[in-house]
Amino acid sequence: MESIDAKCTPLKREYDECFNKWYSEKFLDGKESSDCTALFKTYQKCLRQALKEKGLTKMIDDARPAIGSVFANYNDDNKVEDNE
Amino acid sequence: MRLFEATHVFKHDWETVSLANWRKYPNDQTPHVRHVEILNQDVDPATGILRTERLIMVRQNVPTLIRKIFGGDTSYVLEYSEVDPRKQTMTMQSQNMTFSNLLSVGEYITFTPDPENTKHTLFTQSAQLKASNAL
Repeated sequence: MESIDAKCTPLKREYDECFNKWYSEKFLDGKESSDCTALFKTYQKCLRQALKEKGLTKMIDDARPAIGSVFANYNDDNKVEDNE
Repeated sequence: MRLFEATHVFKHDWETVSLANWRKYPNDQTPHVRHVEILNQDVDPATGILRTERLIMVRQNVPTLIRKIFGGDTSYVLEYSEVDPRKQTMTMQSQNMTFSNLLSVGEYITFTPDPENTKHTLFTQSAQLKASNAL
């Protein structure tokens, strides 16, 4: 499946592959720390840029309360990146 | 406001069903689902719960007139899920972000081992639909 921005597709695929493997072989067995953090960061960097370019960040921020998401809003971008 | 509910038993264990959820897209039955992106994902160190936020983009071929009325053929859904591997529960909550001025659909899904047969998985789904006066 392609990413919303073609530039991010290979990064997304790499992360998805890593995630599926970690999830089935480690997470479900109780090994909770992810193997895929570095891949995730790379994918996210690309994706966030794409979301900004497409003007989707506000729409996503506004929808978070309705679904009970615990994640920080994109307009708190700087805070989120510092925590990494 | 309308409330819809459904339940189903999958004849597979919870671990298999929860993994299948992550591998669901793309598939032939849902060609309208074009993109699924992970916006956020982490494991809460205190509880061991996997938390994920996903953006789902849907586009289908609609007649031009419909597209003009609704203002487009592309819609976005935001989904937040939690997987608790210790308790074997997976919960997902989603909401459409586009066209919500016309129709708002919030869906809540759970996957747990079937209490009557722990080798099977119980799926429950409930959806709340709110139509605006514009419709």
